[in-house]
Amino acid sequence: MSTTQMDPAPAQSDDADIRALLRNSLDTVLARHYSFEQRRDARENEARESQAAWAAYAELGLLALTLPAGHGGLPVSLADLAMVVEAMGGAMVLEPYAPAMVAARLLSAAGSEDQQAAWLPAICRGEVRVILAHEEANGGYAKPIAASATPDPHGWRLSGRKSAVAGGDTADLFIVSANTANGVALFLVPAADLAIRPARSFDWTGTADLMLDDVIIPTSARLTGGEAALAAALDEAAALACADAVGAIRAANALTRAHTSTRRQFGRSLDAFQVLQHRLVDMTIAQELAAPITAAAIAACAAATPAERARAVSAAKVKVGEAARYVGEQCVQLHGGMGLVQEYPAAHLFARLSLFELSHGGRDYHLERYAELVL
Amino acid sequence: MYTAREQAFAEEVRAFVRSECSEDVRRKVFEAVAVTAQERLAWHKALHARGWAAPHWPAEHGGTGWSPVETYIFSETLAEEGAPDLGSFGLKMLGPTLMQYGTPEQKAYYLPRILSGEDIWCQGFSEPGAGSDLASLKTRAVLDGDHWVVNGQKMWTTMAHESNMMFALVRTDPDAPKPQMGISMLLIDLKTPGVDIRPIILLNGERTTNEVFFDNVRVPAENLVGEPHKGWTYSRVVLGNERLSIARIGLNRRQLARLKRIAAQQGLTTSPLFRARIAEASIELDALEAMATAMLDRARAGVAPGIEANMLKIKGSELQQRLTRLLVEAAGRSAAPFGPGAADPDRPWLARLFKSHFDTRVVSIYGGSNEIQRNIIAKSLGFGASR
Ligand SMILES: Cc1cc2nc3c(=O)[nH]c(=O)nc-3n(C[C@H](O)[C@H](O)[C@H](O)COP(=O)(O)OP(=O)(O)OC[C@H]3O[C@@H](n4cnc5c(N)ncnc54)[C@H](O)[C@@H]3O)c2cc1C
Repeated sequence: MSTTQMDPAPAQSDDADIRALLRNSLDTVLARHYSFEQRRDARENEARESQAAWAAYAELGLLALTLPAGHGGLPVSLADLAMVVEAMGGAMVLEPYAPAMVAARLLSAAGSEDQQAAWLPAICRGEVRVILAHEEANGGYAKPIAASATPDPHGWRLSGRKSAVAGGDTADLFIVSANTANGVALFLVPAADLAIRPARSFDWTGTADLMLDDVIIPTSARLTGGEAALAAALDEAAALACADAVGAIRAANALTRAHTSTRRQFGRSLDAFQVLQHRLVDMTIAQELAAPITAAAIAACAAATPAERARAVSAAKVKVGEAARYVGEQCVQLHGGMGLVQEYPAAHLFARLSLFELSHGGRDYHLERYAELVL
Repeated sequence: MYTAREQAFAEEVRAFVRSECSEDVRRKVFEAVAVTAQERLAWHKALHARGWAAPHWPAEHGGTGWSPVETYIFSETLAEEGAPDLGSFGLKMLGPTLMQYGTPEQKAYYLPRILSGEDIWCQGFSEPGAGSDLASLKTRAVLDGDHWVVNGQKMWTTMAHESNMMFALVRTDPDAPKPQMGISMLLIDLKTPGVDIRPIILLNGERTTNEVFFDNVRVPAENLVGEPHKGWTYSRVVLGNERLSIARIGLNRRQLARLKRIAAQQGLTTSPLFRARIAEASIELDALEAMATAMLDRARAGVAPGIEANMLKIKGSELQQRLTRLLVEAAGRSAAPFGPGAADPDRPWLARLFKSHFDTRVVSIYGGSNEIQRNIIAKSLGFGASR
């Protein structure tokens, strides 16, 4: 049941070395920055604590993973990145690590050489946080993008709204998706040029709504890549979110097992009641189903055709979504009242897992997309 | 499900809520915003003035003398219309217990004060080590002259910080042959020296519940309900009250209406998948209502509810959880923001959906968890009896 089980067998021993090294440094940094108490402090003294954690990620090279070496990146595999994201999910980190990595990868896939050279080195060093702003409020992962970009004498005029953008509250730079007369395009927009309404999500991670009220941006802000690059990035984002959820599912199961083995009622430990044993077994089964299908989705993002990728990602999103729901709910239920309090991790895990289910397209969206591909 | 006469009664109640309960407060309830203690008290006073604060009480104690069915219709209509809950502790739990087991002095003093809202009660049963296994509670009361001296800790005491009185279960005979037989029920004034109330904050950031510590708290001997060491029996009666309304039909109707409204706003009423989910939830509610109606019919014939009430508790709580989950699903990720700065000026209700989703997790935990309800049903059906 180790995390490495979900990774495909390493092609060469080099990869295995890199992975072991990563795993080690990750454990160190999460242990240093992410005790439950530190997480609370990070929320209360937002800026300071979170900056420290981000700097530590940069120092360990975590912000450079999978990015081109020529721009300061460390070209490891997407599976390696997923392993890191999973560990971050287990520690319930508040910083938008996965969203920032998705956006940085999108920049390297869809940006011109100049755009990459201008931003990627600073991104890898942790000096610039980049975030993809795509989802909109009107119910709409599946819906066509309403935000629009129209030509303007000075470049482009952006208008529309982006809703509940994960990590948008601390971003320095956004990649904004918008409709042009010739289809969907992507634009690099500094956060300073936008009206932003920052907030916390129920699980304490940061979020923001972006108001694009006739923002004028230069022609050079448009990325070379468009719709296809965006689709790949959205699938990657969903697959990496699955990895984060797998981490949180493992953490919730470990927490629930520990609690039910020590809490006693009616003269017995809770895990001596058979009905609760079955519940714990089903939680474990959910975890064991979620991890490999996530690995398959990650692999499909790295190698497959767009259709195969979409199918694998939707399958993972549905299955990991089910696991997240079941494990999150049972984690709370089996803790009793303790499962709801702010000073204990159970409710936080429930919130993170619930939010995962709602993000990157809900169950219905992925069921429909999957059905389109297989029927 | 109602007769014509019952229907007319429901309409009378509905009209009363709409005219006497402020629009603001009802909107808060509809949108799952916390109602303040003052707002709740104002509504309590309005009901009291109409003689409806405690409909289920017998007329001699200031109740309405309504039948169980009328009482049921009344409470479900209130819930449907968004009237704030008055809290069950005084009106639904302690009041009936005192009527049955209290001394004449206790009845004369406390019942009018419960009715008027002058005393606000909380329930001190659970402890850190005694949740589902309530009989293992440890808070001790020792008789010293004409006072009980109380030491120990209660936990999860909802509203303790907004109450002036607590009815508590305490251990008065540690040597009783069974733990249940050494427990008494005490009425404790929370302003007594030695009482320390500390908040428990849930992940929604709210203080609804508390820890209450007792350090040599002196409680007058006459504040023991009924007889010593009978508290367990009394508490079973307390917890058994309000069984007709246990499925929360009115509340679930209100949430279903909220779901339909939000699904329409989100453009989801044309999605075949989402329509099916709403239909399923609505059918579940119809089924629960039909089952509750059957229970009402038996109540009309004078048959007290049995384990079907436990079944309705399980299914009603699961439906509450299903409906609030559908609410967040309807909003998708835009339900994520919460707390300061979260409200989208165009759609302020979004920022409360996730809280509702979180808050309903408790309904399968308290009041006897759903696991404990199933244990009760299993035992009552005789499963394993031939072992
Ligand atoms: C918000 C909130 C408000 C509350 N308000 C009050 C109040 O005002 N007054 C008051 O006295 N109490 C109150 N409670 C306490 C509530 O009644 C208890 O939480 C409940 O009894 C469960 O106890 P516990 O939390 O200790 O969980 P535990 O008893 O530790 O149970 C943990 C899990 O184990 C399961 N379990 C336990 N025993 C068994 C078994 N034999 N078989 C199968 N499963 C089992 C439970 O179902 C649960 O899922 C409140 C609780 C909360 C969360």
